[in-house]
Amino acid sequence: MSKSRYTVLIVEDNDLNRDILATILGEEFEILEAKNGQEGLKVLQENVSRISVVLLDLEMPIMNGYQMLQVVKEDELLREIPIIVMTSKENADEEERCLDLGAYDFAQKPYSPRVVIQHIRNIIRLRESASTLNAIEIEAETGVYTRGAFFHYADKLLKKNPDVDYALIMVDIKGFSTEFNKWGSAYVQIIKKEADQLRKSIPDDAICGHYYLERFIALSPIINREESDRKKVVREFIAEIESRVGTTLKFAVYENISHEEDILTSVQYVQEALNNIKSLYNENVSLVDEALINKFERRTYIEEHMQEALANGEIEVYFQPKHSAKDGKIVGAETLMRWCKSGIGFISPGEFVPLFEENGFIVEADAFACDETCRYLRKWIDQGLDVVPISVNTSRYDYTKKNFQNHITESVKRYNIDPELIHIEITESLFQDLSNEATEILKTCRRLGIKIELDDFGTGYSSLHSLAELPIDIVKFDQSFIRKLSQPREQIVMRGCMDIVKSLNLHTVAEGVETEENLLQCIELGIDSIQGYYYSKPLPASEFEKYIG
Amino acid sequence: MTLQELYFALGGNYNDTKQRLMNDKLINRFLLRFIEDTTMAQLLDAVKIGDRKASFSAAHTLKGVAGNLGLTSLAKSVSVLTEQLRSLEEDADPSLVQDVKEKYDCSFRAIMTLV
Repeated sequence: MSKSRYTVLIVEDNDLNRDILATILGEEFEILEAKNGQEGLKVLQENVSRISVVLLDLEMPIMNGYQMLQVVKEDELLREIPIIVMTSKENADEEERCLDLGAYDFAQKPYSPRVVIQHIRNIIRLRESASTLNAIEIEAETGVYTRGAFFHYADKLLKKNPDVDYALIMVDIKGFSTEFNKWGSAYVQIIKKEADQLRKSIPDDAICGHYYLERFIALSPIINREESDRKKVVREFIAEIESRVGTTLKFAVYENISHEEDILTSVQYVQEALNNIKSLYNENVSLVDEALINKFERRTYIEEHMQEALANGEIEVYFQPKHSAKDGKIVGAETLMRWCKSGIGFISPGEFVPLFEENGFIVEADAFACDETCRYLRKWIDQGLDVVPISVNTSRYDYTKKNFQNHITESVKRYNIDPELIHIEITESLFQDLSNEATEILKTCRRLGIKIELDDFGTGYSSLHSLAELPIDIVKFDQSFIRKLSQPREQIVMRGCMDIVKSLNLHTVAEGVETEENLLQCIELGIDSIQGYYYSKPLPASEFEKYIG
Repeated sequence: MTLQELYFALGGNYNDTKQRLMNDKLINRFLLRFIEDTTMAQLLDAVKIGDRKASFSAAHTLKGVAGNLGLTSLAKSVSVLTEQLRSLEEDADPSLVQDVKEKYDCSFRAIMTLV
């Protein structure tokens, strides 16, 4: 039998069971496979418009079938896809529970693939003949498509007209949901009137939907090609509406969206574009361009691969030496992370560290860097090398975990390292939201002999107050400070800072020292240690080993 | 040994299996995959360390695999163990585990003759 154009997703953890289904069903359908609910959801999200049926096993690791059903049930788009749950006859309440979670049909184990094929055919036929979408396509309150319906029709429109260029537009109507809750339908009447007005200025075959809360979404063929200043056109358009409605509108526009790519991906881009200007009061138009897409894709790449990168050694620790300002001897180092991926190249910590901080992965990454540092220290001590104290970075998120000090003290213990060889670098931002907890943790570390360095001093968050409050031993002056030392006013500020810091008996480090001139300025100011390219860039462990050897 | 003989020796149902899995070639292929399948080892490991949840999960999977391959006798034996474990309130019953292991070894040896 020739393959149909329908795609079936098989979610089953056992390789052999999955292979049996995939082999036999594969004769009639395109097959996608997933090993657990989590993978299943991911495949489903990525292929939502082409998967006709899902075959789901219940007992699976990581995310089982019930949990997957639950997530699908809550997603307006995913729940449109029928799921056949594979059950065994001994367990009758399984079926009831699954039906409750939105399962469409059941197939008995042991698998009879022929019967399963027949089930799938029936479902597809039924859904194709009836109008398969949810009964509610139009949102009663706003008169536009619901989110699920919008995706469905947008997808159809794009597939039907492969030669037409479309723009995807997302609009944020500030206060829409609160105003709506306050005024109810009266408010919607105003919006509707506005929308009807708008209708006249957009093509007939454009479609609109309510994305969520204050966000609306539209897909429209592009008509006005001549105007070169796109933003200006949209701005004038917005100004006109705002003057009548009395609220703020923000638009994100993605022109010439891809017909091949899943509509959900394009929606993510406009969403991202809108988010980028959300907190900017003086910008109300954001265009999706190549730079935004690249950035988004890179971020997605990083988020999808960070876990394995840490596990398989793509992320490595490097060490940047610190030297004594007095005699130039090496007195310490800072551990930094490097991510090198074959094929993609170097991913800058400036790019991945803020992302890790955003998604919380920084906690694992910091623990990794600390553990690696202790491991190398142990190795070098065993080799009889003259080791120096090494500082490890910590982020504010580390301190929200109760077991924070464990990750440092445990590594120190595991490798039997003298705690004095480890310094912890903190930034002041840490203390904005969690000061008590963090202060206690740091005090405990200090009692063990670990020194605390205040990083990035002189940048955004610095306050002199924190110098007095924080349990610190060392102040690191930020490179933005150091690089401007040729300016007289900077020098005056710096001298004052040094006076305070020295009176508090704190040790000082200058970061980002690149030139001899820089170095001399630091020496003149009385700074104790120097870190920067003047002495050395961050070195991989093998080179740092030679450096101290 | 022919497939028919093999199923007879193992207390399995050849005709039913053939109807479900389409033909001898596929049955043969899936039976050979069974030799590589690690579920039995996972089950024994989980039982050994007393991990009830993992024991149940492995037993449940093994039941499914055996059922799909028409190894009825093994499937029945492991089904009893699965139900014993389902509530997670007790450790695996050693005599049930032993029974599963014997049935599994029998199946394994018989399938090895196909290689």
